[in-house]
Amino acid sequence: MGTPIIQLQNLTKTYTGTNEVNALCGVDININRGDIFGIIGMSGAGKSTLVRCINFLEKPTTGTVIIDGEDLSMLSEKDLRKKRQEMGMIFQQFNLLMQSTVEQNIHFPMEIAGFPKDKINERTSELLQIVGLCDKAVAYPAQLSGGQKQRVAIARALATSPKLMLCDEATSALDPTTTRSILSLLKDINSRLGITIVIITHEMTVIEEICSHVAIIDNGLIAEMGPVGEIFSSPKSAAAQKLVFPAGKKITNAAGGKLCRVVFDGFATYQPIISTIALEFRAQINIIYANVKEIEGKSFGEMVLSLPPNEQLANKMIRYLRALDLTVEEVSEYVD
Amino acid sequence: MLTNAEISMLGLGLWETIYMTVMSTLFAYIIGLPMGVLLVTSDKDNILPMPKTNKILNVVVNLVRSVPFIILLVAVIPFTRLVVGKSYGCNATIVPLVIAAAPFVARLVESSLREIDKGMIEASLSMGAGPLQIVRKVLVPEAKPSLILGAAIATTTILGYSAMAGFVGGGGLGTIAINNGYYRYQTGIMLITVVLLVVVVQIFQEFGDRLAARSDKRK
Repeated sequence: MGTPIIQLQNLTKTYTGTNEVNALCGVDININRGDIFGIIGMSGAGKSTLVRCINFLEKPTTGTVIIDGEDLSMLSEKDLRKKRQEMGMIFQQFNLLMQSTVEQNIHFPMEIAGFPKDKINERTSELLQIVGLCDKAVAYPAQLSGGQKQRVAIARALATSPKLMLCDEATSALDPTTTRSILSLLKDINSRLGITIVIITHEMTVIEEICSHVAIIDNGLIAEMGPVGEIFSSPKSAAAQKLVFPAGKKITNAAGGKLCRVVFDGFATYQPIISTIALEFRAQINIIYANVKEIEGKSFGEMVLSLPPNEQLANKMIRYLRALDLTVEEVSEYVD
Repeated sequence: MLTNAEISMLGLGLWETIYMTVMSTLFAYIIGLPMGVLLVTSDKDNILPMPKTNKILNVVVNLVRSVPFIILLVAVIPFTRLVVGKSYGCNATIVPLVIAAAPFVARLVESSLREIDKGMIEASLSMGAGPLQIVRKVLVPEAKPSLILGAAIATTTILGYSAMAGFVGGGGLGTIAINNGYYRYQTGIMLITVVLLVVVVQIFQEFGDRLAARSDKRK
């Protein structure tokens, strides 16, 4: 494993101006080689600023950014540019050169890095192969779909064989199917080329789909951080709970009792929990939401239950579920 | 009808007008393009922040642009003499035309470059591009259609200015319009020069529009 490829130490960023904004208020993150690391947060949480600090597009107000053992603030302008060639970056709006062909777009970072011409051409066809766009070499970006544009951007980001790839809301402008195909391409790149990937997103599905680790950023601070499976099954912070909770599902609790989110993993999935409870307590419980997700190759079931209005009974049920080694939390406070 | 002498006079005038316009535009761009680029890039949040240079450049551009051309034309005569050796004729007119047009071109270039999406510049920076590389490979190529449209505007404006130089013997259709049409009351000649000017402007503008549309790959 060795030392982490990215070390962010006590990062702060304050935008001065008419009204001062503290975008980051002391962020510490270590990202290990080969990880797919997700950074998730609501808009305005500071995640875009954070990712821009990693390649110094934004210089942090205080704190240290160490990439592959090198402190970025110690580098000269020239060395910083060299260093940035080791970090590819892709964006929500793709940011392709609109007046250049796909091929020329991919040439661009290699021309900057001063590659010889024949190597540029050779590498370009290699990259087009990786992203599956061999037939689009001479097309212009305007002739491509959103997903294809992002593939070009990925090829461009990979051109100089970086160790690290930063994705700033890379799938937020894409539809769900395209998002999935882009994510699987990223996953493929990660496992085949061993490139560490940092993904900024506001969508929990993106994190669940490909990330190994996640940091939840809220108001410029890391609210919670760890392996995705762990955070998903037992989120501790309010910010994490809010994100993990089935997004976009407005739950009206007609019965008026407590709402509980239960997460099953592995063994517990095979037990008839709901019917057991119903028999044991001779009371009805209602399943309001249920879903199974695959995270890091493991199946996780989640369920939102509406418990009986009787508080004592409800508490007993929660204790019972916990005794079965399930993760149970009350969710009432963040249901609209 | 026109006499042969009149026809050859108008022909020469037309040629001189086109010559002055094209040469002046060329030189105005040689000076104005880098100025326009610098106006954008030296801005405080841009790729080569130099707030002082930016301020000075802005003042200079505004200063020159606010002097009426007819005044500038006369005011720079000593300098014109220094450069081309005389103060009348086509070549002499090119000097004040370039001085007047360069800051105008700089503003046109500036507005074209400012249209470029900041995201593209950010992407280039993330690839480790330096300021010069960004100017050469991103700003100018991406703004090309808009720059061509700007050049058409610049050319037609310079053409208009060149006609004004007719008052001080600047040559071209302007001189003919003033000397024959205005001073000698040859209304016919004056009308013909005006029509010729209109046609030349139309051709330049149409050519610029088509070239810009063809070079734009965004659609």
